[in-house]
Amino acid sequence: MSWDLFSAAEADRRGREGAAPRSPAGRAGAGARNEALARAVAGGPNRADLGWGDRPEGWPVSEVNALARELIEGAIPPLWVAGEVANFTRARSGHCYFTLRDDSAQLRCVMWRDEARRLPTSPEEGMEVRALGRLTLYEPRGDFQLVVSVLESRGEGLWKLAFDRLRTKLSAEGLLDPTRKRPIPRFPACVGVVTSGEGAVLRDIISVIRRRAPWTRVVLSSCRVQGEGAAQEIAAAVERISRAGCADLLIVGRGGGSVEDLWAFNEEPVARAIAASAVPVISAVGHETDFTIADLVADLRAPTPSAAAETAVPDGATLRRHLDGLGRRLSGATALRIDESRRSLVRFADALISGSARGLRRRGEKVRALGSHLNALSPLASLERGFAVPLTSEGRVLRRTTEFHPGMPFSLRVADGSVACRVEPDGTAGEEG
Amino acid sequence: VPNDEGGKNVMKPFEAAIERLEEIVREIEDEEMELDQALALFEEGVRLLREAQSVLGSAQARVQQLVEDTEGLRLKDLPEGL
Repeated sequence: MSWDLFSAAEADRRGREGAAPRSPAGRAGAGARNEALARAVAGGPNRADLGWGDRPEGWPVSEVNALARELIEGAIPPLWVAGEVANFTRARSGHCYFTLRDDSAQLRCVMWRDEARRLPTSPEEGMEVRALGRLTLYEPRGDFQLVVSVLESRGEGLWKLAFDRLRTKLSAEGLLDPTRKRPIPRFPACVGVVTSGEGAVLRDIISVIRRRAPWTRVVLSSCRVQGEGAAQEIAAAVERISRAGCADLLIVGRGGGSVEDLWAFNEEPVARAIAASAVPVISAVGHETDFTIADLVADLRAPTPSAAAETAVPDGATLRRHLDGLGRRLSGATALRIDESRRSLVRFADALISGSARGLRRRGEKVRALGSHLNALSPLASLERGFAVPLTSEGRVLRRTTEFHPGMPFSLRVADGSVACRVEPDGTAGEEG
Repeated sequence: VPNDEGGKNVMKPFEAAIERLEEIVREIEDEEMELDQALALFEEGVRLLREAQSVLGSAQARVQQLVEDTEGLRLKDLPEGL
C-alpha cells in the first residue's frame, strides 16, 4: 500500500492543526458537570449500584453523552482510519458527511468546511481512502464519529478523479477542442507573464527573452501560484492582463512542485480564464512530466517556463541571419537582372552593326560601352555613380529620343530620389546623341 | 492601459516588412519583369531591410508590472536587476 501524496511529516502537521489531541489535563478539567458520573464510572465496571447510588432517578442522557465524548476524545489520539467511502455528501454549508466502512463495520465521518475545501474533489462511492481525524461523540444524537481533517485516496486517486471530472466537463463544452487553439504570434512586441512575482520563473523567462529578443517588452501580472485561493488569483491575473490589452501573448505558469503545489492549475477558474483570454496563451506548469488542465486549455503547452519563453519570441541571431540572407539574394537577383539587360543591349547593338549602316556603328559602340558599364556596377552603385532613369509621370521608362517631346515633363530617378524635369521648348534636350 | 512605446505598433510593421521583403526577393528572382521594375523593387527591398535591422538592434527588454488599484490598471517599471 502506498500513500504517496503527502509525506508523513506533512500529514502530522496537518493532524496537529486540524485535530488537536486532547491532553489528559484537559480531560480532567472539562468534566466538572459530569463529575458524579465520572466518579461512579471510575469506581469500576462491576459496581452493581452504578447509576442508582448517586442518582436514583437515572443519569440524564446529556450527561452520559458528554462523559462518553470526553472518555473517547481523551483516550484516543488523532489517528488514520482506512476504509471505503460510502454516501459522501457535501452540505450547502460546505461541510461534508460520509461513512467509512470495511467488510464488517462502518464509521460515521464528518469533514468541516475549511478542511473539505482542500479536497480536490469529492471521493467516489466505494473509493478506498484513509482519513486522519479524531474520534468523538456527537452529543445531540449520540453518534460516534470521526472528525476528519485530511482525506486521502490511495495513490493519486482523488487528484486523478478531480482531473478527469474537470476534463470531461470542459471537453463537453468544447473548450479542449484542438480547433480552438490559436496560433502563437511570430513576432510579439510584448509578452505577458502570469506567475508569482518572487519565483525563479519570471527571472528565467526574462533572461531567455533578453538573450533571444531584447526588443520585446515583458509585462508581469503577478499572483500566488499555490495554496488556498491561488486558482482564483491566477484566473484574476489572466483576466487583468487580457483586459489591459498590452500583451500579444501570455505565458501562464510556475516552477515544479508536488501534485498539491501544482493543483491550482487543475482548477476550473484557471481553465476558464485561459479559455477566455483575448490573446493566445502558452502554459508552462512544473516540469516536463507534469500535465495540468491549464495545459489542455492553453493554445500551446510548453514543458517548462524557459521553454515557453523560447517558444514565445523569435531568436534574434537567427532573424539577423535570415535578413542577411534576404539582403544577399536581393542584390544578387538584381545584379542578374542588370546583367540580362546588358546582354540584350549588346545583342541589339550587334544587330545594328551588322545592319551596316555606318552612321549607326558609332551608336552601337556607345550602347556596347554603356552595357559594359552597367555590368561593372552593383545595383545600388549604379544610381550612386550617376546612373539615372528618366520616367514619364506614369512611371514608364523613356528609352528613345523619339519619346521626348518639346516641353514634355518627366522625372529623373537618381540615387536618392527623383528630380522633376522638362524637355526644352525647342526640343534640344532630346536631339543630342 | 497605456500601450506606450514598445507596444504592438512596432512589431506588426516588422512582421509585414519581413514578409514583403521575402516576397520582393522571390519576385526579382523568379518573375518576368522589366529592369526598371526590378530596380524599383530593389530600392523598396533595401529600405525594408534597413527598417527590420534597426528593430532588431533595439535596446534591452523592458520589464513592467501590471497593477490595478483605485485608479484602474496601470504599468509600473520593475527594477533592472531582474
